[in-house]
Amino acid sequence: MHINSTLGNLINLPVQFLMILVGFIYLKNIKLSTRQLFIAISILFIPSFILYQIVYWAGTIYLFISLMFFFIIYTKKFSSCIYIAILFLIAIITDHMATLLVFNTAIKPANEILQLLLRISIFILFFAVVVIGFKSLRDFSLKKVQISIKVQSLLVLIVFATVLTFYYNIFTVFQDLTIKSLKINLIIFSFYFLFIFILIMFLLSIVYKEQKLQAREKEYQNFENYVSSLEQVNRDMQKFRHDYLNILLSLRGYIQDSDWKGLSKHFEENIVRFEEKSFNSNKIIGLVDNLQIRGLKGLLFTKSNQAIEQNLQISIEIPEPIHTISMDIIDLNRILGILIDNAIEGCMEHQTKHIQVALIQQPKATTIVIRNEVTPLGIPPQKLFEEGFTTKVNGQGIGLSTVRNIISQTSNVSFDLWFNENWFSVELHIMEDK
Amino acid sequence: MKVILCEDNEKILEQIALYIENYALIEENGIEIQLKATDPFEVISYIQSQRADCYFLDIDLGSEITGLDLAKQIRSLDPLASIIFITSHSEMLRLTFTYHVEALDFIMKDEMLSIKEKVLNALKKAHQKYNKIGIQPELHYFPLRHGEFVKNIEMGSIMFFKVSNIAHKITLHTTQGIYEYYDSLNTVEEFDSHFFRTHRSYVINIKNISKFDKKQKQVIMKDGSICPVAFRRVKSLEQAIHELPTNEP
Repeated sequence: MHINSTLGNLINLPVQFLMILVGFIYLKNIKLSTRQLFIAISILFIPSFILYQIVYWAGTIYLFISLMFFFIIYTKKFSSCIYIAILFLIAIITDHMATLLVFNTAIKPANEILQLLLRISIFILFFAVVVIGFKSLRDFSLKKVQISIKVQSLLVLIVFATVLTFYYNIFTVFQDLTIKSLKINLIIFSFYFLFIFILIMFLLSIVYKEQKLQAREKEYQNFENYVSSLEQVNRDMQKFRHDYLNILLSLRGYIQDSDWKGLSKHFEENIVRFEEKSFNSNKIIGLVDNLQIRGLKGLLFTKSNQAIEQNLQISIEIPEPIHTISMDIIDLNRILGILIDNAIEGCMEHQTKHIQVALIQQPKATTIVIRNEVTPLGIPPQKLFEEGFTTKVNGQGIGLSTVRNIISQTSNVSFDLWFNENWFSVELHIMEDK
Repeated sequence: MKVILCEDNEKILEQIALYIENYALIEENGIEIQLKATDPFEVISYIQSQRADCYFLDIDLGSEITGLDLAKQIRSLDPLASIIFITSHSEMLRLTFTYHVEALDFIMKDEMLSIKEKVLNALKKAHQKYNKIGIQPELHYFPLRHGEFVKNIEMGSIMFFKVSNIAHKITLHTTQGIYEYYDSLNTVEEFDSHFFRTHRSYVINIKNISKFDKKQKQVIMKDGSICPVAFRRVKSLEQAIHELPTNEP
């Protein structure tokens, strides 16, 4: 029995091509226009189909490489080639499994065309299941793990090595494509795939743990910052208490001479200014007092000090005590850090002074507002929104894509951002979990 | 325009009242002070039976309720009144008051020198708003709800609504910004006759279409964003756009 009959190819190859195409569109969440689809079929598929009939391996290699180029050019992202490679892997394995199932089990129909149809439907089913599983796994790990360039290139290397091995394997056993060799192939492939899969998962979990640790460390550092500032304020207070008799005595001199002008000058210049220094950090400590979430408290404190160092005026409003916020605290820390950094940068760029932050508790939600002053008509808003999420427009867009990424995966959090008059505002709404 | 003042410091209360009365006398624009109170409960009992259009409230009233509590009560009875807070720097929670009761303005009483100017500015702002209320129909705004807080989005700025990948979450794109909230496109579609469902996951404001590309089956909005149009909606969209000028008031 010959599996790779011309008829078989005629139906099987277009199906596999389409599945890989659809799989890619699904994974990357993109859309192809009719024209692009036409290009894909005429330049990618038809030549590879013809090549396949003449020299089978050349067809596959042509398809593989041209698909990668097509999508790298189309999506302008190098990562597209990983997806193509992974989809090829999935296609190879699921095709093998489908073939084996049809030829090696009781459901084997007598008619050859029926066999073929059954094999193709099983292939489509397997392929779809694996791709959907892969996507949900990827979304989950993308949300939790930031993959560095180093790890990314390692992943690319592994995937490519795998594809090469698999194809070499197919080509060498192609000569006697029998059920037995298919079986052996499937076993090898499955084990290898499983092995690589476990390895990658292991790698990701290590990266995840490492990042979590780093986040905790940062949180701890922020909090330590806060505590040491508290101590500083305490020392200042003690010093002030010690000094204040002297201050009162210095006032008496002016009063005895009835030198009211001098008194007011002395008061403004020496006493008020002296107070102002410790006043600023003192003020922020007072402001974040209502926030009972340790990690967040440290972050707000550190970021406010950064703003003050840049000579900006930042106000933080937390009118009622907040004990919990229904969101992963590491995610929230990351988001708020990015948003306050953006606000600081926005102020520097527009040469404005004010940043306002508020954490407001509602009965069933928490609203977080961060806004910074901008010069009117600084940036046409739509431009920021178009490019802000993908590239960096004048600093404002930095990190917004990360924020959007985290929030789009969290069902109880939504966010607004808008320009109005002199303010650029970002609002987070965190609904209480049911 | 009827004005109510509530401030526990009698000196400041009289001072602000004087500024307002003098201004009303010169301008003759119908502004009158209805009530001057040092006790918030006076205001509460007053608003049970009568209304005013503009409230000046001290935040720390030296009473068991604060100016914010009082403002919340006023808001629940009268969503359109202007509320102006009199406050000192240390009690200043600008965003909080704006979010909870849509405060119109703030007057700092520790900046005694500029207090007259601040009072009159706030008063003028309130008066402008008061004059506008009768003219603008409320339907001009699209109410966007986040829990208790409501944001009023100007209808003219709305480009389109899009379903997000999370169930019941909708993203609204306007000329001012991007907003996410929880609702269904069906309710959005019914809100206004200019909202048109072009696609399973899009509702657009047909007043803000800049170009309808029938070939590519998409519309380009005035802000440059592109929305897809489903095949079976092309015809009805064309018709809706065609009918648009006659719908114009």
